[in-house]
Amino acid sequence: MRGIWLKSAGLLMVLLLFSLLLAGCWDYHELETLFIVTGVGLDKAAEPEKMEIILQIGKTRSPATGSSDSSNQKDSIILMKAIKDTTVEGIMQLDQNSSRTLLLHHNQMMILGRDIAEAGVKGRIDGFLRNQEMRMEILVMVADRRAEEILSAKLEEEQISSMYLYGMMQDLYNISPYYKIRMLDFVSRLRDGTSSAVAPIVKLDELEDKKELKLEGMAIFKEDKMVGSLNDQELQGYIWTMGDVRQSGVAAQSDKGRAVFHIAKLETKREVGLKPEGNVRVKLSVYATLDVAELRGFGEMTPLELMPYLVDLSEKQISQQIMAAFKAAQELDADIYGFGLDFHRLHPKVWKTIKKQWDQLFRELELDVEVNVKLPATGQIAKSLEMEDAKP
Amino acid sequence: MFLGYIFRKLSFLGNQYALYRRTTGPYDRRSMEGAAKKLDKSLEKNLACLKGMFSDSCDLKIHPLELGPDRWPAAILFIEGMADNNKITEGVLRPMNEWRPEGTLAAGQRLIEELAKKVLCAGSIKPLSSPEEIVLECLSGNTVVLAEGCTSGLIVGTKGWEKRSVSEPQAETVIRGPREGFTENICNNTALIRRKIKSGKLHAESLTVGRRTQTDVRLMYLDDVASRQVVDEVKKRLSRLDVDAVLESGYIEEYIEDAPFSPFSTVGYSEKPDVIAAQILEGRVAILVDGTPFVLTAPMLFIESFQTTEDYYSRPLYASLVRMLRFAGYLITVFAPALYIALTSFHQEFIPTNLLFSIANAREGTPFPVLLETMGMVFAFEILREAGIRLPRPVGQAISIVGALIMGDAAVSAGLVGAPVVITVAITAVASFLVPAQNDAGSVLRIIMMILAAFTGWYGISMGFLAALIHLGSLSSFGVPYFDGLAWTRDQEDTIVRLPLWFMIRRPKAIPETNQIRGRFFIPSFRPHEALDEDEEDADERRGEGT
Amino acid sequence: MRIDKGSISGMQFMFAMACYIQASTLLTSFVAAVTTQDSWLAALFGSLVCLPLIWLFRSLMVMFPNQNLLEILDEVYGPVLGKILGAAYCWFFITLASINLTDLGDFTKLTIMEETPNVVLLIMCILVAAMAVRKGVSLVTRFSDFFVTVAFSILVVSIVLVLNQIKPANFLPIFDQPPIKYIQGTHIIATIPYGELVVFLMIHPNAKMSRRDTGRYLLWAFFLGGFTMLFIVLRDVAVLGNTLDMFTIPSLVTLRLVNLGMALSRVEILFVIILIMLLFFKIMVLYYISVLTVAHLLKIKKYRNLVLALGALMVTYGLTLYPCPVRHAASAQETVPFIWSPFEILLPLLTFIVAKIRKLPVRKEM
Repeated sequence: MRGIWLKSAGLLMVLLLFSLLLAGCWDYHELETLFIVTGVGLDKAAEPEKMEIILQIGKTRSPATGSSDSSNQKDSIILMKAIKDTTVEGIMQLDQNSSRTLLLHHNQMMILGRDIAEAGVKGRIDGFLRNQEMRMEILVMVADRRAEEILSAKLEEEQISSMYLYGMMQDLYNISPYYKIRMLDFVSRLRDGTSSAVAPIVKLDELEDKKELKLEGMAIFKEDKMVGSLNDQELQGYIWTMGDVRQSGVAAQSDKGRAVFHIAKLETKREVGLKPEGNVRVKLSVYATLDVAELRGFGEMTPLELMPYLVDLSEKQISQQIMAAFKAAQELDADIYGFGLDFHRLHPKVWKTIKKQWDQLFRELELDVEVNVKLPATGQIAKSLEMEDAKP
Repeated sequence: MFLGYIFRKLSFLGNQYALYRRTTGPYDRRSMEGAAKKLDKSLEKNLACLKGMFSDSCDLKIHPLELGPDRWPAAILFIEGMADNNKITEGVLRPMNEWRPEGTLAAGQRLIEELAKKVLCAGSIKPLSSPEEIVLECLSGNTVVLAEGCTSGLIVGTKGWEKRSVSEPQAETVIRGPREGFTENICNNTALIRRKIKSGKLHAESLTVGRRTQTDVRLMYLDDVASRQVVDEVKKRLSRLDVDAVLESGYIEEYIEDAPFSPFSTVGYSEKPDVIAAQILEGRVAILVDGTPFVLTAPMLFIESFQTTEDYYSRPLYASLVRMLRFAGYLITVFAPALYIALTSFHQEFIPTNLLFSIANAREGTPFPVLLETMGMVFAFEILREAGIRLPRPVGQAISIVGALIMGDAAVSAGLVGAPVVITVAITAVASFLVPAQNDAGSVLRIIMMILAAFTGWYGISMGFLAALIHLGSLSSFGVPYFDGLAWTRDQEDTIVRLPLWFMIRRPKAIPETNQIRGRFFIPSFRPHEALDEDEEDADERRGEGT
Repeated sequence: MRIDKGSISGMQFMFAMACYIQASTLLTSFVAAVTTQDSWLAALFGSLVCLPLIWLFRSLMVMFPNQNLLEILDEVYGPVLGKILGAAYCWFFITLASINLTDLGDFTKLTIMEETPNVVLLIMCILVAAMAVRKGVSLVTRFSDFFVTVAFSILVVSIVLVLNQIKPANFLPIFDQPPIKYIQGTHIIATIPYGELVVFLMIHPNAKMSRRDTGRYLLWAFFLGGFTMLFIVLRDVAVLGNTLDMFTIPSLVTLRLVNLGMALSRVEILFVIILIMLLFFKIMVLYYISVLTVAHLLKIKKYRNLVLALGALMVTYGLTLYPCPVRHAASAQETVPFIWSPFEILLPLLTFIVAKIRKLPVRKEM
């Protein structure tokens, strides 16, 4: 029965121990001693082998003093820059030189300057993967010129450009998941060997009174070097090839008029096979459900004729854009679609024999596109104003 | 040095405790000093003796009488205020004054018998010869009649004092359900319970506890339901009690509970007869204490704190929802400040980015570390609560308004504390009122969790939670595992959800009892008119056959 | 001689075993590094291979319903050899407990407490576990059903949360690795989660269950734990694909990827909850069993005084066991399964055979 007393004595000891240990809480960081990093940018430095590491830090403002301040637009971010060999060295240097500890957990994205992307990234991002504070969900983007100008941009809508870009990519993600390239997707492609990594390109437009960030195509990486890019049209083709599109639209022009369609759903099926002659053939079936969004022209057609015509028109447009993107990729020898991976997954035995020459095979790859469009709805109105029947 | 002192003190207490535990067995009530064993023949001597035993108190009234034509000396004794004056006048004084015995008075013992049989008119009359017992009876409000030459006195039941009538309890209010509450009078309370359970099996047993206060304590339990072990254990612990005073049931609770150093209480209490009746029906033992409206129940389970009577009076779906809300509320009140500390000062990665920015903006420029800030606010809340309870109601409200609205707002706008802390502590405070029975345990745990969180963040909280869980698992109340109501794989009908009453055919397994079946299982007809319709059809058919 | 007289129900025993297997699933990263996208196959094969092992444990439990492992050894091999084997098992249990303690420390460091020294984390854990161990078997296994429930619900929730990230193509190609890798993976799965069930031979006399129920409970525990492991591996493979083998803790990365709008992201705290809870349970069980074994070997009737001493031993042992987590992972992949096999598979099998030959246990009838 002494147990109770011993126990309480033990408890007291433990409590005292805790209060003593409170003096040395190792992971304890008060919020006001932290800099919340929202974006990391990498740029090539003047010296070879070195790079500029740019950190964008969202600044916190005290609500008591800062709310009515007119200059807070200026103050909303802090940009820090270091020139070092590796990312982590740069971050460590910045950490030591700043008044607060850097918190990297809330980093939203890694922006690669164009020059560094072209020089190769494999050796540059190890620190991002290794560091426990770096999450695999951060976005990877390529800056049209330099990463610094993207990170330092102050926009009308959002003062922290990384948050703006994150929102933008989240929006695009709702259209198709293939717009949003996370670190995981990027690394997965890099590790794969045959597939080429892609990353969206972001461009800063400086208008007279304000700045704008825009998505400007997709960068294509061969191995780990950026070798080229897809323009907007090709990017759309690429996204359609990958399938799983839930929004966005198709615009098609013919001599009779211009039609714009909403994509309600677009899915693809790919069949990868080896032809007897030895080259690879990919059969791509696209199944799309579209809505008519807007029509211009088509004056001389009756609605009855129009619908099959529109189906045909949209099918052609989709297939044309897909082919355009494919041609662009083929020219760069970059398997951005992961056809090689498909092959590997479906025919693992054959793959072992052809893996070495995949570059060659991809160059000669045949892509058969078959588009099936369903056009169930015409929107709120059945006939357009310009159509014959519609005129009273 | 300080530590050494504490250890010495603790081991001393430990020894005392061990000694005490070893010497079990009912304590013998020490006899009062200076008292004679038996009454004397002389009235004067007796009166002097009794007076001495009452230490010449001024509220002891001695009324000398002369009986009959012989002017036989006699006296009545009672304590002013404890005895009903009407009863004394009507039942003792008037009959004795108007008594005209035929012939000579019987002397000695006969006289007393005659008085009891023929003269006095009261509910209970009994002769007693030991001065000690006479004093006790007198102290409980009865009147003593003594006569010259008699070696025993008569105790006349004249108890009656000013008492509160049955009214709505202040601490436990209900929207639906009986509104009567216990009073300070033990007889009344016993009757209130008996009115709920009109069964001969409801056993009531009387004890007296407290050397000086001589408090009446009653045990009530269902003879055929309550487990013998539990009843014996309660009796054993009560009989071991050797204390000066028992002023409230809290005294008894503290002396008989299993884990005096645990933050969790292992004896339940309530102020409402319907609650106590329900507890008794589930096989628990109720302990009534004279002088307080709070009745104890044992054994107590952890889950009891989350059950209210209204759960059973309102419909099961809503009752289950509220039950879950209560669990959530308890978790919030224990863990919310600790979580706030852990998240903002250890694990910023778990906070969504936008929220982090708003918290960081609010924290910017506040002078204190998070732990101090949160501790301070929790402390301030406890102060306000205590102040609100102790003060008269209108003033209490004023205090809470001043405290909560003005002080909180001023502290935030002055930049002394961040708004998120105020919000966190406010939620904590409000949630703590959801489970009033575990409020004190919650407050203690909250502070421990906060310290752990400030020490090792989420890991500390997890370890604290596991330790609390293990502690709860190791507790027992009168031999019944305390945490048993929350076994996750069995006996779930009345824990996190409350199933319909017709589903609960057995008494809760966690409380040991001898008679498990509560009622027969029956499903009330879900469409009550269906049967009726069928009957009508049958009747129609029959009618058709008839014609 | 029964040291701990507490008794638990068969259900409790089952949940304790299920929870124990679940706790081991946190170590699936060891397998992931070996068999990558086919890890789920390794998990499946490993589980199937273990069915005979489960049957073996069941037979031992049924043959000696009132004797724990040490007493069985004593009876089967005689007092001298039995004691030696008992001492070996004692070392095995303590090492196992220390390794798991280190795992808890390492994983906690990797996930939430980067700078806190290991020793603080371990001491806190051991102190809390000691609270339960002192009270005996009923308290040690008491919350296993709660832990299993929580772990299961978190697993289900996490699967729902990552549904939008699952790519079924990640499972392909199947059987792409050299066969030796599958054998290695299967062996890891067989020894680490399932073989360790041998520790429950120490407490089965405390469980109240009939002959018939023993097998049933063991099988249920096996299914509960096995399914959890299978689903965890499947989830991780489906989400992470070919990057699976890159990470030290794939499950953590999987949960970090959860993104359902801005509000429902950063839910890796779910993983941390399971991690701490399940590993704590495992450590508590192993701690208890180590204490029991030592008390048994030294013939100590009251083991309470042993608890804290053994805890201190385990902390120091655990801290000095591996110089770094990389070595730890390497040994879990390569050496540990071979060292553990004798204790988990060969010795029980041998014991079973010898007992059969010697026609033990001798029925003491009248």
